[in-house]
Amino acid sequence: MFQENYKKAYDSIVPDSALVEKMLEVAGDATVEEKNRREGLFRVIKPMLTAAAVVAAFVTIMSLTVMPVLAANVPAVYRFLNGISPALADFFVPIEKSCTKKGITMQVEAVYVEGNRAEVYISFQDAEGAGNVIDGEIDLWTGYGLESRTGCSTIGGHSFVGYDAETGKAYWKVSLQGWDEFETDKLTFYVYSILSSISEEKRELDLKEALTEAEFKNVTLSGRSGTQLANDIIQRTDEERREDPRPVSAVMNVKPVSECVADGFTVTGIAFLDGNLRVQICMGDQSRAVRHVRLFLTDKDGEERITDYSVMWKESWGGVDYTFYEYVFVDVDADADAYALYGLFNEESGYVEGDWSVTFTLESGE
Amino acid sequence: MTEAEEKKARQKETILRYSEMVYRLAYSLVKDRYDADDIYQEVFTSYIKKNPQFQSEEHEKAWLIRVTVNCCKNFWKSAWQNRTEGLMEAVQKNREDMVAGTEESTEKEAQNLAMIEQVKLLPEKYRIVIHLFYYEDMSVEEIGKALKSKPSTIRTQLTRARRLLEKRLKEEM
Repeated sequence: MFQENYKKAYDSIVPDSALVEKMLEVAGDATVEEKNRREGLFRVIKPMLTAAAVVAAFVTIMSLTVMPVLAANVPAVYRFLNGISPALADFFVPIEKSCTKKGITMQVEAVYVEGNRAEVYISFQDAEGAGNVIDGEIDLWTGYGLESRTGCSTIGGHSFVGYDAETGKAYWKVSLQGWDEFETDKLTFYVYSILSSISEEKRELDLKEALTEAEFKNVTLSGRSGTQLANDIIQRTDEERREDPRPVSAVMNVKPVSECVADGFTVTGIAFLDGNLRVQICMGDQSRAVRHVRLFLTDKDGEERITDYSVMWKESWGGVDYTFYEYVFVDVDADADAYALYGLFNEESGYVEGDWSVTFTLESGE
Repeated sequence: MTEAEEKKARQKETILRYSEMVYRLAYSLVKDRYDADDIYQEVFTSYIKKNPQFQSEEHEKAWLIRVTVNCCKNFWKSAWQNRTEGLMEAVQKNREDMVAGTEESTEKEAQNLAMIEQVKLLPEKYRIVIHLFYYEDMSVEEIGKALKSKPSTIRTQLTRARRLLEKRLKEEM
């Protein structure tokens, strides 16, 4: 009863459309903003860039920058930071402490802490005599953060900065924020795991194979985004909701989980149903890899649109949890010739769990 | 599609998808719509500037929840120093906001407003878990992940929040 009333009351709380429009405009101008930011503060390179491009960018930065005051004994991270922005280098305290696990060395290169915010430059490289895992295309995976005696980081974001082919180091910048101010006399930075292989593939999805009839099944959702169609949501009693508050939704009952691959994507069904286009994709076992898809539907006029909503759930088979997504484009005519559908399939794999951890103090570095 | 266009499309998609979630969460944690407007803009401006790369939609949602909560926390800190407006005055303003937003204020709606007011009088940490649990349908584990807290902590907060609300609303939860 409480939940029902609470939801009803909050359903009317939505942002003003002018406010949303304003944010969309800001997002549209972000390229200009980012350009200015790159020139003025720091350089962020998307992980999806190829290793070669990243190496080229890094080498260019390093070779074009004049560093008269930097001698050979200056820490590598300072040379690196100066290459990005001399102004930025002044703020960071070099740490250069490392931890090696699973044949990979994580080094905390430099840190900047102010109040409850921190920025940390770290690098990963293959340990001496170990395999060839770090080649420039890696991503931080589950869990990273900064801890001090008084608290720990609660939010964070990370961006790939560059790969130095000469030293074999892949540099990352991690931005963190905690509830409380970080005490700087003893700080610990940790990373639980990384993904060492990143790829993105554009795939056309043939709408001529789309179904026009399909049965539905109810699944308990692990996540959803967008405003879901009311028909999809299964109404439950208060008692059922108290037992498991996660919503239950109707999704297409197409290909069984036993026919899906664990280490890749399986498009399990595409269908024109009730005036909507539904696309169901199994992302396989996501416990040691990240797979996600962005779908784009183009009409005859070349107008492109993204999905209106999606739901996510899990199904188990053979002791493995498989993640499924069903994406829905609302108000789509059941005419395969009128549209083209493609998806950007992203995969980050090569899971390495290392639980790297470095403890340092800022006082000694200043 | 160029890389810049792709990024722009992705950011717009995220803003459209999570606008309501961010705004409602902000509104549940601050005093009125004006404050929620400020938090909403701060959250998405931060998102656009940082352009974080997410591993999944779950990760993206959790990130936005954490940033919203954090923005509200920073807001409370500054509000403590700078604002003299009393909470009950804010509650009255909420009532006016919400009534203005409905065509006809029925008795049922009035009860819902009273309930929201009671929730807004709870300590901040309880409001967060109440909103995520009862509105966003998130499990204790999912809230724990999003807020980087132990599920046991969230469970305790939820139990205490329910107890306080049950007393105030005289309603079983």
